[in-house]
Amino acid sequence: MLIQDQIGLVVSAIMIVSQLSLIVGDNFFFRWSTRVVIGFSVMHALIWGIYWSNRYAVQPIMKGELVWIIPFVLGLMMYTRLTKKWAWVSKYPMGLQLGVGFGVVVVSMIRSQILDQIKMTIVDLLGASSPYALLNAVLVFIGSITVTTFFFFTKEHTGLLGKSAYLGRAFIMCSIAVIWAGDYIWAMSMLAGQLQFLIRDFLFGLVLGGA
Amino acid sequence: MVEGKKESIWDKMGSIDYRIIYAVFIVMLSIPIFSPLGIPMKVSQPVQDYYNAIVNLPPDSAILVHSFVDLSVWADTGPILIATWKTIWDIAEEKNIKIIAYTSLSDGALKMSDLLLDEIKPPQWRADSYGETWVDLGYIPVVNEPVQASFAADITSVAATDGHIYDVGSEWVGTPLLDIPVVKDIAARGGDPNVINVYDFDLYIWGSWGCTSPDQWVRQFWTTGNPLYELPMVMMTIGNCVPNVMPYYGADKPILGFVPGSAGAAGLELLCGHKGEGIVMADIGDLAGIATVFFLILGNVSYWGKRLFEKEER
Repeated sequence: MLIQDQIGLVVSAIMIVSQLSLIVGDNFFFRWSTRVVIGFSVMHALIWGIYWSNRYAVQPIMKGELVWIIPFVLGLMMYTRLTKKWAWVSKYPMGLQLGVGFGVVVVSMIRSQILDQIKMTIVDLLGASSPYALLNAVLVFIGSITVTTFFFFTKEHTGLLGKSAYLGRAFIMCSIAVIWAGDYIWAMSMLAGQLQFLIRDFLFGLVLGGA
Repeated sequence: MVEGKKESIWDKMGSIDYRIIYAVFIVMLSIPIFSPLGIPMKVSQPVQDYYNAIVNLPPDSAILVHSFVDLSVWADTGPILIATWKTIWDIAEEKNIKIIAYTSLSDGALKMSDLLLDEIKPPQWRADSYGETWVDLGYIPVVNEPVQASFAADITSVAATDGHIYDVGSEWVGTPLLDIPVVKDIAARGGDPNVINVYDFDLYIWGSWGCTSPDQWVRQFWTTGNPLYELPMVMMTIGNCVPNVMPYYGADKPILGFVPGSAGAAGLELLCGHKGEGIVMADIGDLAGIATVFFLILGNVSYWGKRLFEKEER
């Protein structure tokens, strides 16, 4: 193993252990490693930002592709936020970005997230190929209707609307539970990845020399 | 609890020191690292569909691959990417599948250079035919929707040249996209041979750990264009994004299949026959699940015990 790889392993192990030390309570090592990570992340982003700006904008401009001056200048205008006096200038690139983004999104959003979803809710219900698919489609259909009624705030949730909204709330809670479970398992996977690194790569690979 | 009152068994069950809980989890999660348990597992339908979409591509198809490499979530997503590339590399040469790949994060480009020289090393015929049968454009910052829209309409508008950073095919770096034979071939499949866009592909393999990403990609790769692009996709994601993917998943929907996190990667590894980190992570996930359920039961027993028995005492 190259010396730079060994240094990398040691630094990584120190940082992981420092972060995990929060388990025993807030401490110097946790705070220190957090600041180091944030500092390095910012530095990393800055260096890559300069690298890619050079590659995608400065170099083409030098070759005579002057159209790249426009995004380059717009990008530089964002930095006027660093001064109070000129901060207003940054609103132009920001406004342009928001406008373009909104224009790009809104057209297809109506189709993909509203019309197609309504269509699929009905199509799945009518075209179910198995009892399981039918049950699934019925659940989706009932869930869609009842969750929508939950967000009707212009009428008091009483009677049939109240019952529907109540059921809708149950569907929302179920979906949040699924998201939480996924989030939890994801966090476990991340922890497992760090443990794997500490035990296999650092302990067995470096400290015990591949034992 | 009333001060001075002796702590009941229910209180003790419900107030275990969190450091003990962490210690239990760390021990449980470490067991498969020392000795993989090989807990039996079933490949889920979305993972099966993901695999099928890749291996059942018709001959002469073209695929666009977004190498989902984000080092901050590598433990959960790395096994998916590795198993995906191994699946792609296993596609027989005779099928003549053409590939254009890229990464959307700068650190991903660095990691890919290591991976392609080691863990996902291309087979010799692919390595020898870089530029002819496949190309990796390197880092392309396709991370927000306007860029995604431009990328879909004309890839050269976002990436003008091959910009990968590893040794394989390094002689192609800096070549304008449409001068690369594989890009030219793929561009010729669609309407305008001088434009490479999503009309030219049969499948998009991509990944993200942003849970709103399915909405974005479906908007820009499926429901945009005239005629609509409707490019079928398969997705690498993380477990908590599954509810966001499900509305778009299905045989006649934009997302044909998906792999959720390292546990899903284990299924893909079983299917492609290249066992790796995913299998270990699946074991770890199972043990973490057991420990979680144990503590959940303990917490609930504590709650109901206090509610039922301490009420009676009062």
